[in-house]
Amino acid sequence: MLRTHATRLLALAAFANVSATNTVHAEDWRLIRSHLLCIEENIESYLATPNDPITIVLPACPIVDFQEALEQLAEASLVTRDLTTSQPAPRTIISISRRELNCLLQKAAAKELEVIEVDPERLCGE
Amino acid sequence: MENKFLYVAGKSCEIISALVLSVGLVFAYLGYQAERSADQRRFTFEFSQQYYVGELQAARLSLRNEVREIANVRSELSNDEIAIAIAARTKSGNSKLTEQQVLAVSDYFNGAERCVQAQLCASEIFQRLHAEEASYIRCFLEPTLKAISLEGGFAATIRGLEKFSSDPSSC
Repeated sequence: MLRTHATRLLALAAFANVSATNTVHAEDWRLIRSHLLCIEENIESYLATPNDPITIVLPACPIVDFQEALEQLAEASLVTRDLTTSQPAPRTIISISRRELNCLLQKAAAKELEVIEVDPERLCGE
Repeated sequence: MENKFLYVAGKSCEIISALVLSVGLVFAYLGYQAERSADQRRFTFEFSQQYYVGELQAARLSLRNEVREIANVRSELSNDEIAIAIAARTKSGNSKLTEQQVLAVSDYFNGAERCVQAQLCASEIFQRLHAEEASYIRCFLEPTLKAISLEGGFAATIRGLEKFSSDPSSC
């Protein structure tokens, strides 16, 4: 009886382990507010592309074309980072669905912070 | 007395015959297993050689160049951002890495999985040879595979890469 119970527990533990290793948890995005405000101002251009999800190079806003935006990013001087912080660098490139982009902009509008942290998997949730 | 002796001798012979047969069967089984294992090693090695020639070799090099090119744009880009950029560039045709090459690479790993399932290839050996490469490919090509897979076909497209990645959850 005890043995059966132990076997069952082991099987459950193994299953839990497999589930845990197969789940990829995306890290939170740290986004600069001014980038999001620029996207909001140019939202019509971004939504005019047929792509869904849309890939956006945030510091290159308002350039919508991805390749052009990447080239612009390469030309621009590197953003000065605060090396005293252990925080990861703000996000530069995002891939986001049209619906989630609207949710993200709404979230950004509700916050006054210069750097906004969001969970990319819960952009339209609470 | 003589009958008893004959009976014991007969029984002994029976036992010895049974033992000889059993030992013979064990050796035959071990021989079969050794031969099968050698065949699997040979198949696995032959299969893995395909990855380093022709179109697959070209795809590997294109992917590495693509990763390097995008990483050079800005040092702070994460692997996830590089992977998204690869997907966008491949889709728009701005990359030297083509969709056909991406699919060829994922097909290779799916083929390896089928080879293991058919017991022609040894999973452990293939993993030792390709786990690092599978992790690298999965990390940088997952968004591209998602974008170019047929509706609902992504899980099947990435199955082989998932199986052989050393750590499927990390990138």
